[in-house]
Amino acid sequence: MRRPPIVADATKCTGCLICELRCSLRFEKAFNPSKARIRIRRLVGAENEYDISFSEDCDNCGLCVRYCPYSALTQEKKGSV
Amino acid sequence: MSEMGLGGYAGRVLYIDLTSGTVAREPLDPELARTFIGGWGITNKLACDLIPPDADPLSPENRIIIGTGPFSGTIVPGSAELVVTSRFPLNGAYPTSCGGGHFALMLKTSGYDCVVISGRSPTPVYLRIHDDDVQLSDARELWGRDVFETVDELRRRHEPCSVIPIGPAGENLVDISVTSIDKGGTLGSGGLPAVMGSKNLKAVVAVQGSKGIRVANRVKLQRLVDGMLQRIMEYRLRPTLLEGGFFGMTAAWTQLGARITENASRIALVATPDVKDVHYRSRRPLACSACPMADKELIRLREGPRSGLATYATHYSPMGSVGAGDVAETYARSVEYLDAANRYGICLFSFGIVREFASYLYERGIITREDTGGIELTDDFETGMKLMRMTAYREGFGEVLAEGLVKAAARIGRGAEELPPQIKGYNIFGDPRLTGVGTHTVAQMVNPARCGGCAGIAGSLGSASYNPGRPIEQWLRQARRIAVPREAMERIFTSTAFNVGRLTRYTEDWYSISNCLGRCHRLYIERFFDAETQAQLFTAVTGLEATPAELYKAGERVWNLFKMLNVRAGFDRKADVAPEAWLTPLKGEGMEFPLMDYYKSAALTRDDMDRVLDDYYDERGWDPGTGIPTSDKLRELGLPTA
Repeated sequence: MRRPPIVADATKCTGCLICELRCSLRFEKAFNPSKARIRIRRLVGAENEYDISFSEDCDNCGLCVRYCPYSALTQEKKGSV
Repeated sequence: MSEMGLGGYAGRVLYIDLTSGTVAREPLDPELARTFIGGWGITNKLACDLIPPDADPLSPENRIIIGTGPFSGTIVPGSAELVVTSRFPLNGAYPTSCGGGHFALMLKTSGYDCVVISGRSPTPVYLRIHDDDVQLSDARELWGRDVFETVDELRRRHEPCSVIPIGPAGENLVDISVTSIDKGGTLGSGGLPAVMGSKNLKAVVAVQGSKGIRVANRVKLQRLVDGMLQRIMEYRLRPTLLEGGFFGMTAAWTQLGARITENASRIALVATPDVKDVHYRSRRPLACSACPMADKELIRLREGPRSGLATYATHYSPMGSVGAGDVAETYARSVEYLDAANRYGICLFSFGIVREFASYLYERGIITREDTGGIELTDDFETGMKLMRMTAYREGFGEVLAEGLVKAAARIGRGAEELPPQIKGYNIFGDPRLTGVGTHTVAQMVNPARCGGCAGIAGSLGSASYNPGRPIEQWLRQARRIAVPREAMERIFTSTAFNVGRLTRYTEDWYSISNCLGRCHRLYIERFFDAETQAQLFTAVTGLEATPAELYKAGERVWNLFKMLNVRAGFDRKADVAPEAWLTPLKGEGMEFPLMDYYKSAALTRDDMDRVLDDYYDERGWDPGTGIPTSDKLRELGLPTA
């Protein structure tokens, strides 16, 4: 069953990168933000603002949603799509 | 796992010689990791081995040694701690200098635990580290730009990255300079930027690398971290912290409205405008990597003539310190003042104390307009801004202020040596005449280096240590959390009081472990670590078995190494004594505050404070006469005795 997409609210992001760390640990068995399926990029020219995106191979597993401490990521419950 | 066979470590040390422009990489010796854990333990060891004892802080022979720990860059909450060891110009010490941001994570994903920078570049450069591509790039165009402009430009070139820059204060070798990591986390108060400036090093940039940080047991690590996160997310004050930041958590302090004046001899109650609402509207939390307790912040003014001004804060200092006019104006000026300090790269605390001292001397005619180049040293915002700029560029009277309190006083002479409270040339955080003598007080006295940041944090034992008069049960609970040995507990605690000198030894060793591991020691995250969980985290990350007692021993070893490094700088018992000013009561507004013990049961004399030192040295196993580790203690810890 396809999992519901993850919705990002970048205004709540604080740049902690916990999502990238958790994601890369799942897929790469190591802490490696460059290999994470979720990507947090600081907006250059802005202050403390971020762009949140997902690579094509993100499977919406929701690990990043579960561990975001700032509620910047949400996902509808499984089966609702 | 890295090639060294241990989890958590990248496994390599990067050496940069700025004089020749050469780059070398060496494996991290696993024995070094076993003996000194990592981070601050290894930077202290490398400093002992590599910085010649007679090296002038601003000479090419001094080193800048950047270190991360085995927790750095992992999911351990608050594991963003970066440590820098170098000889600092303010007082010649080798301090603890710690900061957060993303630097530790970025550096380790490029495959390095530590970076050692030596020499002096013939022209301004910045160091860029990206996996095996390590470059010294031309920084002539960046020279002269302020801290934030430098970070902005380097981000444009290298994002995703983390930046340790310097601004004008560093370029002009100002002793009271400080910098920040990624604009948000202060680093190196006491002149790290001046050391960088002396080397013609405008910035160090760690670009996000491609190498993963592997741990020994990721299942166990996740289980342990999940347990911590549950408590963190349920912490009752977390919403307050996220809404109000450090200011929100310390509103009770600032509401006191007490101001210490007249060379730390008088106390005055001042009407402090309530800036809470405007501050909450202006702030946005900023987190270091792996931190669920974002207590740093961006402040952006949203109203008034300075609307749009944005700066960063790591503490409560901007609010209400340069008051004039209504709340909005007071707040705006405070933020503007902080922003100027951030951009020049000047330590707001160190500048504040030397400026106030100069004003005190001016009011008494000890210095005049002849000394200040015609400037009237008044306490207003405009004069403060002008003096800060002059300090950053060492212009006119700024040349004197740039040297920091002790050297400025010596330079002025004429009785200016009657200093406000300072220890080893560095200012004090908090006045124990108001709070009572707690572990923060003693930690500032005996800290081997003093500068580098808030040395009082080494006396931190949860919120009990930050607040006066907390019940003994709270101290006992905290002492158990950090696993103070049972036999020591019997020496330290009675049913109603504690021995502050003896207890400080254990808070320092606990702090030492956190710096070695690469995890944050700020109150809001530190409170969630206990000795048993920390030891289990260490094993899960590295694969090395360690009990809390064994980690304590390593923390003690590193603290003693830190001490010996600073004995080189000439600091012994004489440098640890309580400042003379503390022994005179603070007076004013019909009140009197003599120096008293933590529970304010009795006034303390010089002899009492000397006994606090005796207890501390005894608990440490150091020579009480000299305040220096004995040969027996050094041998016990496996440290060289020479």
